[in-house]
Amino acid sequence: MHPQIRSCLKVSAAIAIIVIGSVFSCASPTLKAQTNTAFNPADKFSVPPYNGVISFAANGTYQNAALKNDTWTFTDLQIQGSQSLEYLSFSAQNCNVTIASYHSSIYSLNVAILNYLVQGKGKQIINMGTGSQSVAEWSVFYLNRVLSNGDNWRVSQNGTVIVNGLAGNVTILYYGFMGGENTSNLPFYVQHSVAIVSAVAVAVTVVVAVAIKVKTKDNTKPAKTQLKINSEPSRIKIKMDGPQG
Amino acid sequence: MTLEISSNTIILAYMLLALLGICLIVKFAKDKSSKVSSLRLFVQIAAVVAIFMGLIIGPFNQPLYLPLGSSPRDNLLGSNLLGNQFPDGLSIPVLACYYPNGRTVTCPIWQLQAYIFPFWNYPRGYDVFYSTSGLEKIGIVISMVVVAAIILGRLFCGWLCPFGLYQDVLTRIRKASKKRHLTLSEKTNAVLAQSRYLIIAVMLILSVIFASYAIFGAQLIPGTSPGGPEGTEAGVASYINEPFCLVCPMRPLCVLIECLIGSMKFSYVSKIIYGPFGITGGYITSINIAVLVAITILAFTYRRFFCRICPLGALTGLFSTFTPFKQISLTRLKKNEQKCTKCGVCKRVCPTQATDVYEKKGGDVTESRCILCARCVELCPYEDALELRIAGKTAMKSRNWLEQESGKPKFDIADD
Repeated sequence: MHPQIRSCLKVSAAIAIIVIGSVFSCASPTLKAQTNTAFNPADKFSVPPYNGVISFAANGTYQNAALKNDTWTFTDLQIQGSQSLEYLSFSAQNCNVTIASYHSSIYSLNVAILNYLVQGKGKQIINMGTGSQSVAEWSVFYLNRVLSNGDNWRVSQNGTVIVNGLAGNVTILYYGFMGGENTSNLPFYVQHSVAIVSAVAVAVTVVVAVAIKVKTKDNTKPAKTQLKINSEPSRIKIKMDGPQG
Repeated sequence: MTLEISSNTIILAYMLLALLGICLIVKFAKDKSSKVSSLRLFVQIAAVVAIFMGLIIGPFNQPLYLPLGSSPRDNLLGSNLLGNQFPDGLSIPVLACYYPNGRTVTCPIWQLQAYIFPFWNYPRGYDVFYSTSGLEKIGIVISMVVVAAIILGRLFCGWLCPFGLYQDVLTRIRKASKKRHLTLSEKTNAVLAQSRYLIIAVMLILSVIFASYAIFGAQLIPGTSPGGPEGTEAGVASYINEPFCLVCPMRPLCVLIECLIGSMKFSYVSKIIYGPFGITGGYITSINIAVLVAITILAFTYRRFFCRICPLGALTGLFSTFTPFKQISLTRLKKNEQKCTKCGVCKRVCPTQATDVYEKKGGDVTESRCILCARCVELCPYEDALELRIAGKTAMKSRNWLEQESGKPKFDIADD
């Protein structure tokens, strides 16, 4: 086989391996919920003193559900089609709430999204167990608009979000930033791992580049005797070729 | 219109792209005089797909930020691999905004501006102690750009940048409509090349001015103190710390692509409009749109117009064509003085009107304006007169395409 075609096949095989590897790496891990107590959309979790009812839009399971201080607390909640939620406390006042979905990031950032439908302009008190009281990390979306803090919603102690006077589709988003984490207790090399890796990358690149340059120069530098022999015909060739400018 | 794409469709698309790539590489390896442009077009398209799909890393369809859609935007490489947050993705010198592409690849220009400005911790309160981490992040970004520039130089501009592809598509449309391109005078072109560094300087100075309240505790320009949550009038000041991004023509295209592939909801960027610049969804401004229209017209008329003033290209050029980086840069355009007849084809076909390739006698003819697109190598009609070398190896070299077996020239450079 021609060497060029062989090297080309090698490159193609390498590309194919990279592509196939990348494609298989697309498969994202899925979380399986524990099989506990099952519920369905017909199940109502009422809050009698406040005239509120909580239900779910889809089937699902939970490990434990308890009404305490007029608030329903669910542990290991899994709504069908959503991700599992370790902890959710929900109270509804003067409204019927249907919890539609819950999603969270299973990767780097601490993200939690709860979507529910409200009938009646009542109050909802929600805690997803994030513990964040920072207003900046919370957003409430209503009719495709971001609501300003204080405008129908606020964050209370222990990361409890209180939504008031909204009827319709409401989405609560918690977006915890990694930068907020206290990393000062981590070892120096973990705190600055990215900077260290970047510095090493620069150093390695420079060293390799210099080595390649030196090697290339050595290869291209002809021996003195060769230079003498080769220089003569090339000069003649230039003269014979004529136009140079 | 939003088109939802499943991961299976993406896998299929990648498979087809890979197949096409293999075919092109096989064809190219057999006949090195074949059109480099076809290979380059393939690489450009593949790069755009990879960049906007988060470099195929996934995970796909993660509903992480509801208003925007299901982009894998929070798969931060650093967190997964190094146990620490990477500064918003890998700093690769191509124009591709950080938010739509999964934060796997990020525009270094945005990063440099954003890290000067400690907006995350004031007063929206993400508790980032920016006076140290910001500087560290700037160091990381510059390191990555230096590494990229040493290895491939402005090859990023010629072969990988999505906005470069956009301009090339405009050129192809112009050619198809049989219109000739215009050429800038050498003096104007040189002034434009110099203006790139001015743009970088102005952009960084403006970033400091807009960040003055957070850095020095005093507003140098009234009304530039940051504040308020995103998506509100009060949050506008948090965005003007990135002056170049407010005018960058690539921004609307980034959002458009993400909306088309279903990773961003069009309703989000179209419904929430606020602020003095008409910011939609916290991303596109009216200035972005106006600049995109202007650049589109100019790039249609003058080949790769934006590359001539691109500050990111200038930064990459700075780290690959100026001493001491020039001595170690691995991707170079070489000219064989003895083979060159000064026919001027290289000068004529260069999309950025770089002149060193023609004017220099021989040797290394790479300059900061050269985007290493290899158009000159492809169209130089003299065997081995020009070659593109990567890491000391010849990647492409010019061939005598005038003397084809069929007796018909392989290329038509009438409009190059």
